[in-house]
Amino acid sequence: MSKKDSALVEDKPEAPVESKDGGKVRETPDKPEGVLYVGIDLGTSRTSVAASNGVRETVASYVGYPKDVVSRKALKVDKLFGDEALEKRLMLDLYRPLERGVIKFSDTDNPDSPEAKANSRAAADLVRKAVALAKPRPDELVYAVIGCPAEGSIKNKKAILDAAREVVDSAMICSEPFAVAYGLDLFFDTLVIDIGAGTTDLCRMHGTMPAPEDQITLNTAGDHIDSVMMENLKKACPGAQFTVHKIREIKEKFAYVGNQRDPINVEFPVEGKPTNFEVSEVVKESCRSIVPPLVDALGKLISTFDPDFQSKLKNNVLLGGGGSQITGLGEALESEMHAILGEGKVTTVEEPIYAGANGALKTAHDMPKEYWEQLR
Amino acid sequence: MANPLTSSLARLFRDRAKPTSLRRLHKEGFRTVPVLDIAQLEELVGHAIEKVILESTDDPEEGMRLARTAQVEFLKMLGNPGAIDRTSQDLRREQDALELNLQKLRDSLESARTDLEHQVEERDRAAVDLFRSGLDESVTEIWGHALQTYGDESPAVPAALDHVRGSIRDSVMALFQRIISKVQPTRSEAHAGGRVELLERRVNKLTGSLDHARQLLKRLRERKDGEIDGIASIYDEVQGLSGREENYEQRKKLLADVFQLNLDIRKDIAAESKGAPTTPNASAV
Repeated sequence: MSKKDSALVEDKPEAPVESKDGGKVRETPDKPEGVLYVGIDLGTSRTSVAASNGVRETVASYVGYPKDVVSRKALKVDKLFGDEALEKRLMLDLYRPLERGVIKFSDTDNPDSPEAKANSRAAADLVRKAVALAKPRPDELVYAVIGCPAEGSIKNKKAILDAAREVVDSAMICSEPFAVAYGLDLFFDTLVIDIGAGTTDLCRMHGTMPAPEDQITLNTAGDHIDSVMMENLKKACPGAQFTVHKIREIKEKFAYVGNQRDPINVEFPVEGKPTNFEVSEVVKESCRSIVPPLVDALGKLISTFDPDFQSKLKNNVLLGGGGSQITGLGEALESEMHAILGEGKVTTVEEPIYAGANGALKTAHDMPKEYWEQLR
Repeated sequence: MANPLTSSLARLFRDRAKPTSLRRLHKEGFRTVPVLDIAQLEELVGHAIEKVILESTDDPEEGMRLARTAQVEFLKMLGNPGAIDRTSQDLRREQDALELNLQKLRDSLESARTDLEHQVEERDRAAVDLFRSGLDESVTEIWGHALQTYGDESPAVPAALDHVRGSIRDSVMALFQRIISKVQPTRSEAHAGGRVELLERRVNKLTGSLDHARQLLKRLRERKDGEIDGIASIYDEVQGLSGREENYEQRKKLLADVFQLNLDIRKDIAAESKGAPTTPNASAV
């Protein structure tokens, strides 16, 4: 940080008053405009938004544009989002603009390629949709914090910021696991696991901003489970036809690890005839495929931490993100941690879909006015 | 009668529903919850509206208009901006299409009226010409005969007959034109007249539909501020850490770091565009 930049951070105007614990605090600055804070969790699978007007919304991260004039006439809209886009995908050029947590093609050397431009446009529309879902009033300033993968590249962060700056007054990005931890006031000796569709982010919180060495991003996340399940189903259900959308549907409905549960009966067409298959073992094994790499990554973060605090870290693992909804995953991680690391305690966040957006909203709310204005 | 509500109800209910976890419900002490399928809700509301509409009017067209008005009011009550915007767009498109069709119909009507007028004028002109030539011929013949009979009686007779001849001819022509104006139209004129009448009825009907579309749009625009302009934030001013939170110093430091890293990203973006090296820290945000 340069001297000038340090001054920007530390010399902000403050009017110290006594806090309840005797510390010097800053008074809330006055400003005439209404301010809508928006926290966005821009995920590969779902985009969730939480705002300071009480709105909380989530939409599947799909954007579709009518393929031709006929589709446009039939759909009567220029773009569709989420499940609606997925349902009408045959009439649409469908984009899932984020892959492994980053905007597709934003990291390539050719950001002007048609694919890169199309995905950037879709990502911008998705951010615009997320902000619209927050129902901002036109006369209010919109300040947004967007959670993105911990190890996203600068190019990708630029692409996200570019998308956001078109629709909000000021935008910042922060790492997704940091947002989850900040939202839950877990700043000290906590290991956050955020399992998304594209990536699983692990982040070590120890009272300061996590450095790169405090964060690990894995590709073993929701999409990885889909791929494994696809392969396993091909073996277990010979002749059956299914798409990745169907697999996601099964995963979202039945995902579990751990002890045997009720049979999972699904129907796939075989040579055009609907045929019933029992797939509980396939679902379990596919979901379980993320556990060993996760515990391996946890081990890396723990073993490189101060030895005096390693035990505390192991017993303070916070599980969030859409993947944390896999039934029994917390227990499975604990069990694997006991086997590999000797101990472990995993707590699952209460609202996996909104934990990131809530944390981003809290970050936005707490961010001082001067910072927002400098990033306009 | 198809109820236009049913197509969008399910989506509206889904949009308005707030998801909550079973875990949270359980924590709040819920052991059982009544569940009503969204399709049932859709069916109930759809049937209720349809029943009321059918009972209130025998005119299906009027019933459809009432159903559409009910749909707009229902959308407003649900306060779903997406659905309201879609409906507004649909109505605006419908209004545009109606205006276009109405213009075309008005042009056709104008053209049909002009054709009919031309036909009638042509018919009148032809009849008058025919009558005039017949009259001239008859009058010439009668006057020729009169001159032969009475012309020798006095030298003033031919001039007097010529004077009377002009007046009689003019009076007969005027009488003929009055009569012709009351003559029944020909078959082609009746056909053209029927077309004009049909077009006039269509114009009236389209004008009614256009007025209704305009009224619906006006109704949508007359939403309360909160519905049209989004939901107000609970904050009128920028917040920031108040200092009353626990771990204030840590929070302050963390937020300063987030800000600084964002600032670094902006600088890197600027530097990148100039080809300068980037800041390694920026990737940590």
